[in-house]
Amino acid sequence: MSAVELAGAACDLLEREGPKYNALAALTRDRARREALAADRAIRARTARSRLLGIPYGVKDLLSAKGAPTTWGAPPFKDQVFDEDATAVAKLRRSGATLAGKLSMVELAGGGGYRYPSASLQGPGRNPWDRERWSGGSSSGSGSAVGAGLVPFALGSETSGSIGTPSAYCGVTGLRPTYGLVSRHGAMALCWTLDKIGPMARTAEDCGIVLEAIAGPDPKDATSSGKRFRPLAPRDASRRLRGVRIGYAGEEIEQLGGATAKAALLRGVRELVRILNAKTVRAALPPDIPYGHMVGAVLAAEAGSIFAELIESDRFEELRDAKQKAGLRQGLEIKARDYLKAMRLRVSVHEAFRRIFDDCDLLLSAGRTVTATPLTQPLDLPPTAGGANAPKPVGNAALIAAGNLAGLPAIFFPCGFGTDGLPVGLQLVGPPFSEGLLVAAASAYQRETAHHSKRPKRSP
Amino acid sequence: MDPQDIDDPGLLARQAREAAEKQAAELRATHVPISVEPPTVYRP
Repeated sequence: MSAVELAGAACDLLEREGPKYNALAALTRDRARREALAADRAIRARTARSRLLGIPYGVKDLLSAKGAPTTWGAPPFKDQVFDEDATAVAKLRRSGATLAGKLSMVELAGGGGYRYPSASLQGPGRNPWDRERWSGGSSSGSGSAVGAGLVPFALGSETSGSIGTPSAYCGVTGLRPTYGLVSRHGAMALCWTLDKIGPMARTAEDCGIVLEAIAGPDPKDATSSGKRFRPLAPRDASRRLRGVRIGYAGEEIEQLGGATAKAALLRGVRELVRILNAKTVRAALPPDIPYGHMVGAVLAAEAGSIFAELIESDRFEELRDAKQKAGLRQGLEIKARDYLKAMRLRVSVHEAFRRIFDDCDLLLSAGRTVTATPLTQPLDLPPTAGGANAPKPVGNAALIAAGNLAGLPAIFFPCGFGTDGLPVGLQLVGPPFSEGLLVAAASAYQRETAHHSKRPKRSP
Repeated sequence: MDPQDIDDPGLLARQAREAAEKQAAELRATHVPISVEPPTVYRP
Protein backbone atom coordinates (compact mmCIF):
# COMPACT_ATOMS: atom_id res chain seq x y z
CA MET A 1 0.00 0.00 0.00
CA SER A 2 1.38 3.42 -0.90
CA ALA A 3 1.40 6.35 1.49
CA VAL A 4 -1.15 8.07 -0.77
CA GLU A 5 -3.50 5.08 -0.53
CA LEU A 6 -3.00 4.88 3.22
CA ALA A 7 -3.65 8.59 3.70
CA GLY A 8 -6.79 8.36 1.57
CA ALA A 9 -8.05 5.39 3.57
CA ALA A 10 -7.34 7.17 6.86
CA CYS A 11 -9.21 10.28 5.71
CA ASP A 12 -12.16 8.16 4.52
CA LEU A 13 -12.27 6.40 7.89
CA LEU A 14 -11.99 9.61 9.87
CA GLU A 15 -14.65 11.31 7.74
CA ARG A 16 -17.07 8.37 8.04
CA GLU A 17 -16.49 7.32 11.66
CA GLY A 18 -15.16 10.47 13.36
CA PRO A 19 -18.54 12.23 13.64
CA LYS A 20 -19.98 9.20 15.50
CA TYR A 21 -17.70 10.14 18.38
CA ASN A 22 -17.77 13.91 17.77
CA ALA A 23 -14.03 13.42 17.30
CA LEU A 24 -13.47 15.30 14.07
CA ALA A 25 -12.97 19.07 14.01
CA ALA A 26 -11.74 19.29 10.40
CA LEU A 27 -10.60 16.85 7.76
CA THR A 28 -7.29 17.78 6.09
CA ARG A 29 -7.54 15.52 3.05
CA ASP A 30 -5.64 17.74 0.60
CA ARG A 31 -2.77 18.23 3.00
CA ALA A 32 -2.66 14.50 3.79
CA ARG A 33 -2.42 13.74 0.07
CA ARG A 34 0.40 16.27 -0.47
CA GLU A 35 2.35 14.90 2.48
CA ALA A 36 1.71 11.32 1.36
CA LEU A 37 2.98 12.06 -2.16
CA ALA A 38 6.19 13.41 -0.62
CA ALA A 39 6.41 10.31 1.60
CA ASP A 40 6.01 8.01 -1.42
CA ARG A 41 8.76 9.89 -3.25
CA ALA A 42 11.05 9.53 -0.22
CA ILE A 43 10.24 5.82 0.05
CA ARG A 44 11.00 5.27 -3.64
CA ALA A 45 14.24 7.26 -3.43
CA ARG A 46 15.18 5.54 -0.17
CA THR A 47 16.17 8.95 1.19
CA ALA A 48 14.24 8.91 4.48
CA ARG A 49 14.61 6.70 7.52
CA SER A 50 11.83 8.04 9.72
CA ARG A 51 9.58 5.39 11.22
CA LEU A 52 6.68 7.82 10.75
CA LEU A 53 7.10 8.04 6.99
CA GLY A 54 3.64 7.85 5.43
CA ILE A 55 1.87 7.24 8.74
CA PRO A 56 -1.44 9.15 9.09
CA TYR A 57 -2.28 10.96 12.32
CA GLY A 58 -4.63 13.49 13.89
CA VAL A 59 -3.92 16.54 15.97
CA LYS A 60 -5.88 18.20 18.75
CA ASP A 61 -7.53 21.33 17.38
CA LEU A 62 -5.49 23.37 19.83
CA LEU A 63 -2.46 23.15 17.51
CA SER A 64 -2.26 25.15 14.31
CA ALA A 65 -1.91 23.51 10.91
CA LYS A 66 -1.27 25.91 8.07
CA GLY A 67 -4.44 26.78 6.17
CA ALA A 68 -6.74 24.50 8.19
CA PRO A 69 -9.32 25.69 10.73
CA THR A 70 -8.00 25.84 14.30
CA THR A 71 -11.05 26.44 16.45
CA TRP A 72 -9.68 25.65 19.91
CA GLY A 73 -13.03 23.85 20.33
CA ALA A 74 -14.69 27.19 20.99
CA PRO A 75 -17.50 28.89 19.04
CA PRO A 76 -15.85 32.36 19.18
CA PHE A 77 -12.92 30.93 17.18
CA LYS A 78 -14.87 28.74 14.76
CA ASP A 79 -13.49 30.61 11.69
CA GLN A 80 -9.90 30.93 12.90
CA VAL A 81 -7.18 29.88 10.43
CA PHE A 82 -3.42 30.22 10.95
CA ASP A 83 -0.82 30.62 8.26
CA GLU A 84 1.79 28.50 10.00
CA ASP A 85 2.14 24.99 11.41
CA ALA A 86 2.67 24.58 15.12
CA THR A 87 6.23 23.42 15.70
CA ALA A 88 5.10 19.91 16.70
CA VAL A 89 3.02 19.63 13.51
CA ALA A 90 5.91 20.95 11.40
CA LYS A 91 8.24 18.39 12.95
CA LEU A 92 5.81 15.58 12.14
CA ARG A 93 5.59 16.86 8.56
CA ARG A 94 9.38 16.73 8.31
CA SER A 95 9.28 13.19 9.70
CA GLY A 96 7.02 12.19 6.83
CA ALA A 97 3.78 11.69 8.81
CA THR A 98 0.56 12.68 7.05
CA LEU A 99 -1.99 14.86 8.83
CA ALA A 100 -5.46 13.37 8.25
CA GLY A 101 -7.48 15.68 10.48
CA LYS A 102 -7.87 18.12 13.32
CA LEU A 103 -9.46 16.47 16.34
CA SER A 104 -12.06 17.93 18.67
CA MET A 105 -11.39 19.26 22.15
CA VAL A 106 -13.13 20.88 25.08
CA GLU A 107 -13.56 24.59 24.37
CA LEU A 108 -10.43 26.53 25.33
CA ALA A 109 -9.14 23.26 26.82
CA GLY A 110 -11.60 23.73 29.67
CA GLY A 111 -9.54 26.39 31.40
CA GLY A 112 -12.49 27.87 33.27
CA GLY A 113 -13.60 24.56 34.76
CA TYR A 114 -16.51 23.13 32.77
CA ARG A 115 -19.49 21.19 34.02
CA TYR A 116 -20.64 19.19 30.99
CA PRO A 117 -18.94 17.05 28.32
CA SER A 118 -20.93 19.13 25.80
CA ALA A 119 -18.53 22.04 26.38
CA SER A 120 -17.13 21.80 22.86
CA LEU A 121 -17.84 23.25 19.43
CA GLN A 122 -18.03 19.67 18.10
CA GLY A 123 -20.37 18.45 20.83
CA PRO A 124 -19.64 16.04 23.67
CA GLY A 125 -16.69 13.71 23.12
CA ARG A 126 -18.22 10.24 22.76
CA ASN A 127 -16.31 7.26 24.06
CA PRO A 128 -15.53 4.54 21.48
CA TRP A 129 -16.37 1.85 24.07
CA ASP A 130 -19.82 3.30 24.77
CA ARG A 131 -20.98 6.37 22.91
CA GLU A 132 -23.21 7.40 25.80
CA ARG A 133 -20.08 7.82 27.93
CA TRP A 134 -17.59 10.67 27.79
CA SER A 135 -14.26 10.30 26.02
CA GLY A 136 -12.59 12.49 28.61
CA GLY A 137 -11.07 15.88 28.10
CA SER A 138 -9.76 18.13 27.07
CA SER A 139 -8.03 16.06 24.34
CA SER A 140 -11.38 14.37 23.65
CA GLY A 141 -11.09 13.75 19.92
CA SER A 142 -7.49 12.54 20.22
CA GLY A 143 -8.59 9.94 22.79
CA SER A 144 -11.64 8.71 20.92
CA ALA A 145 -10.01 8.72 17.44
CA VAL A 146 -7.07 6.63 18.64
CA GLY A 147 -9.31 4.45 20.83
CA ALA A 148 -11.68 3.76 17.93
CA GLY A 149 -8.76 2.92 15.64
CA LEU A 150 -9.41 5.86 13.30
CA VAL A 151 -5.79 7.06 13.43
CA PRO A 152 -2.67 5.24 14.66
CA PHE A 153 -1.66 8.19 16.79
CA ALA A 154 -2.66 11.73 17.68
CA LEU A 155 -1.25 14.73 19.47
CA GLY A 156 -2.94 15.94 22.63
CA SER A 157 -2.07 18.48 25.25
CA GLU A 158 -2.13 18.54 29.02
CA THR A 159 -2.30 21.42 31.44
CA SER A 160 -3.60 19.26 34.28
CA GLY A 161 -5.07 15.93 33.17
CA SER A 162 -6.00 16.50 29.54
CA ILE A 163 -3.86 13.68 28.12
CA GLY A 164 -4.29 11.38 31.12
CA THR A 165 -8.08 11.46 31.34
CA PRO A 166 -8.94 10.66 27.71
CA SER A 167 -6.17 8.05 27.62
CA ALA A 168 -7.65 6.28 30.65
CA TYR A 169 -11.26 6.60 29.51
CA CYS A 170 -10.64 5.55 25.90
CA GLY A 171 -8.15 2.75 26.59
CA VAL A 172 -5.17 4.28 24.80
CA THR A 173 -1.59 5.05 25.78
CA GLY A 174 -0.72 8.70 26.37
CA LEU A 175 2.60 10.32 27.14
CA ARG A 176 2.81 13.65 28.95
CA PRO A 177 6.35 14.92 28.38
CA THR A 178 8.48 16.90 30.79
CA TYR A 179 7.59 20.60 30.65
CA GLY A 180 9.72 22.20 27.95
CA LEU A 181 10.65 19.02 26.06
CA VAL A 182 8.10 19.65 23.28
CA SER A 183 7.67 23.13 21.84
CA ARG A 184 4.32 24.78 22.44
CA HIS A 185 4.78 27.25 19.59
CA GLY A 186 1.56 27.33 17.55
CA ALA A 187 -0.49 25.79 20.35
CA MET A 188 -3.27 27.69 22.08
CA ALA A 189 -1.84 28.98 25.32
CA LEU A 190 -4.02 28.12 28.30
CA CYS A 191 -1.46 28.34 31.07
CA TRP A 192 2.12 29.16 30.09
CA THR A 193 3.73 27.46 33.08
CA LEU A 194 1.70 24.22 32.87
CA ASP A 195 0.97 23.49 29.18
CA LYS A 196 2.59 20.44 27.56
CA ILE A 197 2.08 18.76 24.14
CA GLY A 198 2.30 14.98 23.93
CA PRO A 199 1.43 11.88 21.88
CA MET A 200 -1.49 9.49 22.31
CA ALA A 201 -1.24 6.13 20.55
CA ARG A 202 -2.01 2.43 20.83
CA THR A 203 1.28 1.49 22.47
CA ALA A 204 3.97 3.04 24.62
CA GLU A 205 6.50 2.22 21.92
CA ASP A 206 4.49 4.26 19.39
CA CYS A 207 4.33 7.15 21.87
CA GLY A 208 8.13 7.01 22.10
CA ILE A 209 8.51 7.10 18.32
CA VAL A 210 6.22 10.14 18.05
CA LEU A 211 7.88 11.89 20.99
CA GLU A 212 11.27 11.47 19.35
CA ALA A 213 9.90 13.29 16.31
CA ILE A 214 8.27 16.21 18.13
CA ALA A 215 10.71 16.83 20.99
CA GLY A 216 13.68 19.15 20.76
CA PRO A 217 14.83 22.74 20.98
CA ASP A 218 12.74 25.53 19.48
CA PRO A 219 13.82 29.18 19.50
CA LYS A 220 10.15 30.11 19.05
CA ASP A 221 9.27 28.76 22.52
CA ALA A 222 11.05 30.55 25.37
CA THR A 223 10.39 27.63 27.72
CA SER A 224 11.98 25.04 25.41
CA SER A 225 14.46 22.96 27.42
CA GLY A 226 16.71 22.47 24.41
CA LYS A 227 16.76 18.73 25.08
CA ARG A 228 15.93 15.99 22.59
CA PHE A 229 14.46 12.54 23.18
CA ARG A 230 15.49 9.09 21.98
CA PRO A 231 13.79 5.92 23.15
CA LEU A 232 16.12 3.58 25.02
CA ALA A 233 17.68 0.82 22.94
CA PRO A 234 16.33 -2.62 23.97
CA ARG A 235 19.51 -3.54 25.86
CA ASP A 236 19.56 -0.21 27.75
CA ALA A 237 15.86 -0.57 28.54
CA SER A 238 16.42 -4.04 30.03
CA ARG A 239 19.37 -2.76 32.07
CA ARG A 240 17.43 0.26 33.39
CA LEU A 241 14.42 -1.89 34.29
CA ARG A 242 16.46 -4.46 36.19
CA GLY A 243 15.67 -3.94 39.86
CA VAL A 244 13.48 -0.93 39.08
CA ARG A 245 11.96 0.57 42.24
CA ILE A 246 8.31 1.59 42.01
CA GLY A 247 6.81 4.00 44.53
CA TYR A 248 3.20 3.32 45.38
CA ALA A 249 0.67 4.35 48.01
CA GLY A 250 -2.62 2.85 46.88
CA GLU A 251 -5.08 4.60 49.19
CA GLU A 252 -6.31 6.66 46.26
CA ILE A 253 -7.46 3.45 44.58
CA GLU A 254 -8.59 1.64 47.75
CA GLN A 255 -10.57 4.59 49.13
CA LEU A 256 -11.49 6.66 46.06
CA GLY A 257 -11.67 3.98 43.38
CA GLY A 258 -15.05 3.76 41.70
CA ALA A 259 -17.07 0.60 42.24
CA THR A 260 -16.67 -0.45 38.61
CA ALA A 261 -12.95 0.38 38.34
CA LYS A 262 -11.33 -0.55 41.64
CA ALA A 263 -10.77 -4.28 41.23
CA ALA A 264 -9.33 -3.95 37.71
CA LEU A 265 -7.01 -1.15 38.84
CA LEU A 266 -5.69 -3.19 41.75
CA ARG A 267 -5.20 -6.20 39.45
CA GLY A 268 -3.31 -3.96 37.06
CA VAL A 269 -1.01 -2.70 39.81
CA ARG A 270 -0.15 -6.27 40.85
CA GLU A 271 0.34 -7.33 37.23
CA LEU A 272 2.68 -4.42 36.47
CA VAL A 273 4.83 -5.04 39.55
CA ARG A 274 5.05 -8.75 38.70
CA ILE A 275 5.90 -8.24 35.03
CA LEU A 276 8.58 -5.64 35.78
CA ASN A 277 9.84 -7.74 38.67
CA ALA A 278 9.92 -4.40 40.45
CA LYS A 279 10.74 -3.61 44.02
CA THR A 280 7.86 -1.59 45.50
CA VAL A 281 8.41 1.09 48.11
CA ARG A 282 5.87 3.13 49.98
CA ALA A 283 5.75 6.62 48.44
CA ALA A 284 3.08 9.26 48.94
CA LEU A 285 2.88 12.97 48.25
CA PRO A 286 3.01 15.17 51.36
CA PRO A 287 -0.62 15.80 52.34
CA ASP A 288 -0.06 19.37 53.55
CA ILE A 289 0.46 20.97 50.12
CA PRO A 290 -2.76 22.31 48.50
CA TYR A 291 -2.04 20.88 45.03
CA GLY A 292 -5.55 21.36 43.63
CA HIS A 293 -5.79 24.94 44.83
CA MET A 294 -2.35 25.69 43.41
CA VAL A 295 -3.34 24.45 39.97
CA GLY A 296 -6.60 26.37 40.35
CA ALA A 297 -4.88 29.67 41.11
CA VAL A 298 -2.11 29.35 38.53
CA LEU A 299 -4.44 28.21 35.77
CA ALA A 300 -7.14 30.79 36.52
CA ALA A 301 -4.70 33.69 36.69
CA GLU A 302 -2.76 32.78 33.53
CA ALA A 303 -5.87 31.83 31.54
CA GLY A 304 -7.55 35.02 32.77
CA SER A 305 -4.69 37.07 31.38
CA ILE A 306 -4.51 35.10 28.12
CA PHE A 307 -8.25 35.35 27.44
CA ALA A 308 -8.99 38.73 29.09
CA GLU A 309 -9.92 40.36 25.77
CA LEU A 310 -12.29 37.53 24.91
CA ILE A 311 -13.80 37.45 28.39
CA GLU A 312 -14.61 41.15 28.18
CA SER A 313 -16.05 40.93 24.66
CA ASP A 314 -19.52 40.05 23.38
CA ARG A 315 -18.12 36.87 21.74
CA PHE A 316 -17.51 35.41 25.18
CA GLU A 317 -21.20 34.55 25.52
CA GLU A 318 -20.84 32.15 22.58
CA LEU A 319 -18.94 29.68 24.78
CA ARG A 320 -21.03 26.59 25.46
CA ASP A 321 -20.54 25.92 29.16
CA ALA A 322 -21.99 28.34 31.72
CA LYS A 323 -19.72 27.11 34.53
CA GLN A 324 -16.66 27.55 32.35
CA LYS A 325 -17.70 31.14 31.64
CA ALA A 326 -18.13 31.86 35.33
CA GLY A 327 -14.73 30.34 36.07
CA LEU A 328 -12.95 32.31 33.34
CA ARG A 329 -14.55 35.57 34.51
CA GLN A 330 -13.47 34.84 38.07
CA GLY A 331 -9.92 34.28 36.81
CA LEU A 332 -9.68 38.00 36.12
CA GLU A 333 -10.05 38.63 39.84
CA ILE A 334 -7.22 36.42 41.14
CA LYS A 335 -4.95 38.50 43.34
CA ALA A 336 -1.24 38.69 42.50
CA ARG A 337 -0.37 37.56 46.03
CA ASP A 338 -2.33 34.34 45.59
CA TYR A 339 -0.93 33.57 42.14
CA LEU A 340 2.60 34.19 43.36
CA LYS A 341 2.03 32.16 46.50
CA ALA A 342 0.89 29.23 44.37
CA MET A 343 3.96 29.69 42.16
CA ARG A 344 6.31 29.80 45.15
CA LEU A 345 4.67 26.66 46.55
CA ARG A 346 5.64 24.86 43.35
CA VAL A 347 9.17 24.84 44.74
CA SER A 348 7.85 22.69 47.63
CA VAL A 349 6.29 20.31 45.12
CA HIS A 350 9.62 19.97 43.33
CA GLU A 351 11.32 19.21 46.63
CA ALA A 352 8.67 16.65 47.57
CA PHE A 353 9.20 14.80 44.30
CA ARG A 354 12.98 14.99 44.67
CA ARG A 355 12.67 13.23 48.03
CA ILE A 356 10.28 10.66 46.58
CA PHE A 357 12.64 9.90 43.70
CA ASP A 358 15.53 9.42 46.11
CA ASP A 359 13.79 6.20 47.14
CA CYS A 360 12.19 5.05 43.90
CA ASP A 361 12.61 5.37 40.14
CA LEU A 362 8.96 5.69 39.14
CA LEU A 363 5.74 6.54 40.94
CA LEU A 364 2.64 4.43 40.20
CA SER A 365 -1.03 5.29 40.52
CA ALA A 366 -4.34 5.00 38.66
CA GLY A 367 -4.75 6.96 35.43
CA ARG A 368 -8.25 7.76 36.68
CA THR A 369 -9.89 6.07 39.65
CA VAL A 370 -13.23 5.76 37.83
CA THR A 371 -14.35 4.59 34.39
CA ALA A 372 -15.75 7.00 31.81
CA THR A 373 -18.74 8.92 33.13
CA PRO A 374 -22.15 9.17 31.39
CA LEU A 375 -22.42 12.09 28.95
CA THR A 376 -25.28 13.56 30.92
CA GLN A 377 -23.51 13.49 34.29
CA PRO A 378 -22.15 16.84 35.50
CA LEU A 379 -18.39 16.47 35.84
CA ASP A 380 -18.19 18.38 39.12
CA LEU A 381 -21.11 16.67 40.89
CA PRO A 382 -20.44 14.87 43.11
CA PRO A 383 -17.01 16.47 43.72
CA THR A 384 -14.19 14.25 42.49
CA ALA A 385 -10.46 14.22 43.12
CA GLY A 386 -8.84 17.14 41.32
CA GLY A 387 -11.95 19.34 41.18
CA ALA A 388 -12.25 22.68 42.94
CA ASN A 389 -14.47 21.21 45.67
CA ALA A 390 -12.53 17.97 45.90
CA PRO A 391 -12.36 16.07 49.16
CA LYS A 392 -8.95 16.03 50.92
CA PRO A 393 -6.75 13.83 48.75
CA VAL A 394 -5.40 10.56 50.13
CA GLY A 395 -2.33 8.63 49.02
CA ASN A 396 -1.39 9.94 45.60
CA ALA A 397 -4.84 11.13 44.59
CA ALA A 398 -3.34 14.53 43.78
CA LEU A 399 -0.71 13.05 41.47
CA ILE A 400 -2.15 14.60 38.31
CA ALA A 401 -2.10 18.08 39.86
CA ALA A 402 1.25 17.59 41.60
CA GLY A 403 2.95 16.03 38.56
CA ASN A 404 1.81 18.89 36.36
CA LEU A 405 2.85 21.54 38.88
CA ALA A 406 6.34 20.00 38.90
CA GLY A 407 6.39 19.63 35.10
CA LEU A 408 7.10 15.90 35.37
CA PRO A 409 6.61 13.34 32.61
CA ALA A 410 3.98 10.61 32.92
CA ILE A 411 2.78 7.69 30.85
CA PHE A 412 -0.83 6.53 30.93
CA PHE A 413 -1.65 3.03 29.69
CA PRO A 414 -4.56 0.57 29.80
CA CYS A 415 -4.52 -2.19 32.42
CA GLY A 416 -7.88 -3.86 31.88
CA PHE A 417 -11.59 -3.23 32.01
CA GLY A 418 -14.03 -2.29 34.74
CA THR A 419 -17.10 -4.30 35.58
CA ASP A 420 -19.03 -2.01 33.22
CA GLY A 421 -16.83 -3.08 30.28
CA LEU A 422 -15.05 0.28 30.08
CA PRO A 423 -11.25 0.64 30.04
CA VAL A 424 -9.20 1.48 33.11
CA GLY A 425 -5.55 2.44 33.13
CA LEU A 426 -2.51 3.19 35.21
CA GLN A 427 -0.08 6.08 35.26
CA LEU A 428 3.64 6.06 35.92
CA VAL A 429 5.35 9.35 36.76
CA GLY A 430 9.10 9.84 36.64
CA PRO A 431 11.71 12.49 37.34
CA PRO A 432 12.28 15.24 34.74
CA PHE A 433 13.34 13.86 31.33
CA SER A 434 12.81 10.22 32.34
CA GLU A 435 10.57 9.55 29.31
CA GLY A 436 12.93 6.79 28.15
CA LEU A 437 12.39 4.79 31.31
CA LEU A 438 8.64 5.48 31.32
CA VAL A 439 8.28 4.21 27.74
CA ALA A 440 10.48 1.19 28.53
CA ALA A 441 8.43 0.27 31.61
CA ALA A 442 5.05 0.58 29.88
CA SER A 443 6.38 -1.25 26.80
CA ALA A 444 7.62 -4.15 28.94
CA TYR A 445 4.13 -4.36 30.45
CA GLN A 446 2.45 -4.20 27.05
CA ARG A 447 4.68 -6.96 25.65
CA GLU A 448 3.29 -9.31 28.30
CA THR A 449 -0.36 -8.18 28.31
CA ALA A 450 -3.10 -7.58 25.75
CA HIS A 451 -5.15 -4.84 27.42
CA HIS A 452 -3.84 -2.18 25.04
CA SER A 453 -4.60 -4.23 21.93
CA LYS A 454 -8.31 -4.71 22.67
CA ARG A 455 -10.47 -2.62 20.35
CA PRO A 456 -14.10 -1.57 20.74
CA LYS A 457 -16.71 -2.81 18.29
CA ARG A 458 -17.24 -0.17 15.65
CA SER A 459 -20.51 1.70 16.16
CA PRO A 460 -23.19 1.23 13.47
CA MET B 1 -31.52 19.06 41.63
CA ASP B 2 -33.03 20.79 38.60
CA PRO B 3 -30.28 21.23 35.97
CA GLN B 4 -31.63 24.68 35.15
CA ASP B 5 -31.12 25.71 38.78
CA ILE B 6 -27.52 24.54 39.04
CA ASP B 7 -26.64 26.27 35.76
CA ASP B 8 -28.06 29.66 36.68
CA PRO B 9 -25.35 32.23 35.73
CA GLY B 10 -25.84 34.20 38.94
CA LEU B 11 -25.47 31.08 41.07
CA LEU B 12 -22.41 29.96 39.08
CA ALA B 13 -20.77 33.39 39.48
CA ARG B 14 -21.32 33.24 43.23
CA GLN B 15 -19.97 29.69 43.42
CA ALA B 16 -16.91 30.65 41.37
CA ARG B 17 -16.26 33.58 43.73
CA GLU B 18 -16.65 31.38 46.81
CA ALA B 19 -14.36 28.72 45.36
CA ALA B 20 -11.73 31.39 44.63
CA GLU B 21 -12.01 32.70 48.17
CA LYS B 22 -11.58 29.20 49.60
CA GLN B 23 -8.63 28.66 47.27
CA ALA B 24 -7.01 31.92 48.39
CA ALA B 25 -7.55 31.08 52.06
CA GLU B 26 -5.89 27.66 51.62
CA LEU B 27 -2.95 29.15 49.78
CA ARG B 28 -2.46 31.90 52.34
CA ALA B 29 -2.59 29.38 55.18
CA THR B 30 0.27 27.37 53.68
CA HIS B 31 3.71 28.47 54.83
CA VAL B 32 6.48 29.29 52.38
CA PRO B 33 9.90 30.45 53.64
CA ILE B 34 10.54 34.10 52.89
CA SER B 35 13.58 33.18 50.80
CA VAL B 36 11.61 31.13 48.26
CA GLU B 37 11.24 32.81 44.87
CA PRO B 38 8.66 31.74 42.29
CA PRO B 39 10.06 29.80 39.34
CA THR B 40 10.39 32.14 36.36
CA VAL B 41 11.12 31.82 32.68
CA TYR B 42 12.37 35.42 32.46
CA ARG B 43 15.86 35.42 30.97
CA PRO B 44 17.35 38.82 30.16
